[in-house]
Amino acid sequence: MHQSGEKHTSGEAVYVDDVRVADCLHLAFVLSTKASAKILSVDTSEALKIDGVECYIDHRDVPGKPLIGQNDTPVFAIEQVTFYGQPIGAVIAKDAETARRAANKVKVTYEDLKPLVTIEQAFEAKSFHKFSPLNIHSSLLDSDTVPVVDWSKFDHVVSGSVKIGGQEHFYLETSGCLVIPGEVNDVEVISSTQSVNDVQGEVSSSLGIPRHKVFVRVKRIGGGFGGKESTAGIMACPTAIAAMKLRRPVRCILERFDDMVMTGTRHAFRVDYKVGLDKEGKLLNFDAQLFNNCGHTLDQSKGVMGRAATHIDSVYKWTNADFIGHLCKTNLQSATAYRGFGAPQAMYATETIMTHIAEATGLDINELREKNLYSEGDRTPFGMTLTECNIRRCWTECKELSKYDKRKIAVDEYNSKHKYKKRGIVLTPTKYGISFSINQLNQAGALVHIYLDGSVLLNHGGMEMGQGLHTKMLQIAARCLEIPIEMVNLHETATDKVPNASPTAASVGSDLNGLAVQDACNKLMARLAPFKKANPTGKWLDWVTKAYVERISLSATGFGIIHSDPVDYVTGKGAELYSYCVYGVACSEVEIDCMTGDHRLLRTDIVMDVGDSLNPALDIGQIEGAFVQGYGMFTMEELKVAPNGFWITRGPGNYKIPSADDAPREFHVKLLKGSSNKKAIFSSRAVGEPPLFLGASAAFAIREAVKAYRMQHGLNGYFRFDSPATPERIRMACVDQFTDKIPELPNDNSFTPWTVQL
Amino acid sequence: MAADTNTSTTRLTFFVNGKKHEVDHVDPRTTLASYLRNQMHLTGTKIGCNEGGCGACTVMISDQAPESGAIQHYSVNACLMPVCSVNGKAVTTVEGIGSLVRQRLHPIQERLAKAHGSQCGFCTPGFIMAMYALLRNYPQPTEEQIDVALQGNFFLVKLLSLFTINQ
Repeated sequence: MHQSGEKHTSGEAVYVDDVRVADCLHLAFVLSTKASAKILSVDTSEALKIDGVECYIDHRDVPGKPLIGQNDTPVFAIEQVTFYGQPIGAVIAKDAETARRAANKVKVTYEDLKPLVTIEQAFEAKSFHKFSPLNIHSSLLDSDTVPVVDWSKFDHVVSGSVKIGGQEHFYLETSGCLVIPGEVNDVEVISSTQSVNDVQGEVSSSLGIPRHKVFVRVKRIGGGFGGKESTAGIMACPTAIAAMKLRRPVRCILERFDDMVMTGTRHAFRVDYKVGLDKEGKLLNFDAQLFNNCGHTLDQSKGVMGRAATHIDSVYKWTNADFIGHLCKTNLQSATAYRGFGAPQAMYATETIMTHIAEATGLDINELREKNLYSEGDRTPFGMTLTECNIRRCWTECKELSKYDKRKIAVDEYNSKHKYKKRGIVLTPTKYGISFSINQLNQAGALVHIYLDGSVLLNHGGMEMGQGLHTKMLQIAARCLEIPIEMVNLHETATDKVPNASPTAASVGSDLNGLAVQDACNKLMARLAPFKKANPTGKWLDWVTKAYVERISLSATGFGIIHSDPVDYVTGKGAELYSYCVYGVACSEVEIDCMTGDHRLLRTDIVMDVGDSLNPALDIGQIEGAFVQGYGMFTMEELKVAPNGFWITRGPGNYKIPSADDAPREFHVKLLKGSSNKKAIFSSRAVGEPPLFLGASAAFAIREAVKAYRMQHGLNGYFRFDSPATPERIRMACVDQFTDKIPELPNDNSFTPWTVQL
Repeated sequence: MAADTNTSTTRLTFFVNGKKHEVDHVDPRTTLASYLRNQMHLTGTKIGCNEGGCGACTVMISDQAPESGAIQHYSVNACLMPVCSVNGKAVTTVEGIGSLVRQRLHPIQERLAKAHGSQCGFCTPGFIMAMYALLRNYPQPTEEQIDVALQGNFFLVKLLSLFTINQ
């Protein structure tokens, strides 16, 4: 059971806004209503008149460095705004409602500049971020030159383009923090963050005080998904500035309405591809240009593109591959980390390519896949050798578990008998590489104390966002110390317990922190060993007591690292980038209503390789949850932005995430048996991100259903199907006499569209 | 402001988890969710979206049906309910049906935890109260009734073992 399971159901689990602090003030932001503009004036007079308002702060109140992030994110806008929703200033008042009412009364005047919103606009304006473009050339693994490709020598050449929309994290607990000033310039920050270390760094920098005076802690957050990995400073720095200025605790809890516009989403992507293969269906050459819509600052965008470019091969072996990734800089909230980190977007393109190849050549898509799946010892285009590669086993077992062959026949029969409802069924594979791609992040620490009564306090650098990390760490500690799990407690994640901790991200929380916890516990066991030996029939408390009396330290730090070799994205030469991979396959069946574009996910079967699981219940929960989040990404969640950069989707009213009755009624998840993993703790494998892409199986099943409808109307041949497969997209792809009645939009500037595809 | 001795128009009286609560001069713009959390420090009820779209703020209201006068129990989004509208009604929050501090959990709370029905836990009190209100009305609900009762709860991460809980 999740360590906090009962506290969740009783409502007694404490999140940052539940922490009760006397004399606390509240902060509300004044946000830009322009995507790109010069700030001409800010009039706070009306706001400051409101009873209960303490003050207004802006860039002039920042005592330290004005930029956070990758040294490019203003704490408060200075002279100009670069995205709709950018913080210009903040009002601090006695309660949240008063602060927001006052913030709404602050009047800002602007001089409009032309915003760049889409990938295409950024590309045309040559607006790219630092480090762009990123390159991968598989030929550089064995030689020094990248050969020019002769496309005429391939039996089949297929080319096309596909776009994948971004996604809002929608962690149910919005971003926020509570800052309590200490003596003089000591400050305490309770932050809803995946990285207490980064918050410490950014608060330290913007306040102009050293890190050892900044104490950041978090007990749990109500969901992160990558959206709180590097963005918590956006709230924490202004709040800390306010708290230190007013010498009172200040709380900032974002309204959903603001969180959805300020803190960054998943990167929208575009992939232009050209592939060559032989007539038997062997994949030969893969050329791809990838584009991500990064928003106004760099943040995680380089890493996201790197991961996209190192996952677009997915589970398929190519003879030669050349990938170029462009980091498009636009006037939008800075796109950031999100579970999958570029890989789901890239693999949607990969499966699109496989589908395109099958439909263009007439080859059977599953035979095409089976022919080209990676085998043990194969090398990826970016230079990783695949060991303990279980993709074929996952594929075979999923086909069996789902009874795919039988059900495909049933689906085809259903389609022949139903005119306006169609079904589709597909198998979708995935692989996911595990390590932080920035090598210095592949480290973790722990601190374990044994108290005089024998009870143990565990601290480690990872934090809890619902994935059950603490539960797994308590299990590891109990196992290493050979004591019941009830004797081990874990309080919170804090910068004064483990310094310089990497964010809890990249699915490596258990891998990394597990090693550190194990290390600390092993040290303690080594110290207790002589006492155990001298008193073999004694109990834990006896040995602990004796050790204390003999003045042996009952506290130990632990440390762990995992390996990663960086790819050279400048030249394109690869390396053993990831420590190991996680494999999985999903089979999904959907039914669509061709008249309305609505769909229903009927059944999903997943076989996932998580090695020797540390906690099967938690892992299955992660697989189910990641799948549903991917399902939402690829079929219902659509970010809507106006052509001028005005952000439309700001709440659950117009942004649709999966709800309780969207889950497939039949949902089977099976962990691959007999798998191990030499590279991680107790032979387990990471599980947070790898299953998310499998949600795309629903989107591709929808496309199969659409295809059936199109074929019924005599439309054969490949059709482009971007993500997400919303009702609008489904309905319009179901081309028939009704869609034919809708006139084409003019191809000029005579109208302003409601939204643009990013 | 002149003292208003006639409290019949300014005093709010309602029950929360069985206890009578009286307050004068509440800002009428205050939502029940905000009042429970900030004035009564009952922080089990969460605010996820503040627009009635996610269900994290679900609580149960008990009152008399306007025509028949019979007592009725129903779930509401506390973020949409003005606190003034619960005058004369009873509110049940997640704290009211069980707590670890009082060493007694409601079976719904116990079973959902045992069935691994939560991850980050933020949506959980909302689900618990939606289920509680459902079971209060239909002790043996059908699958369809469960679907309708939980339609408003966002299920971002996890498939709940709903049927094991119902058994």
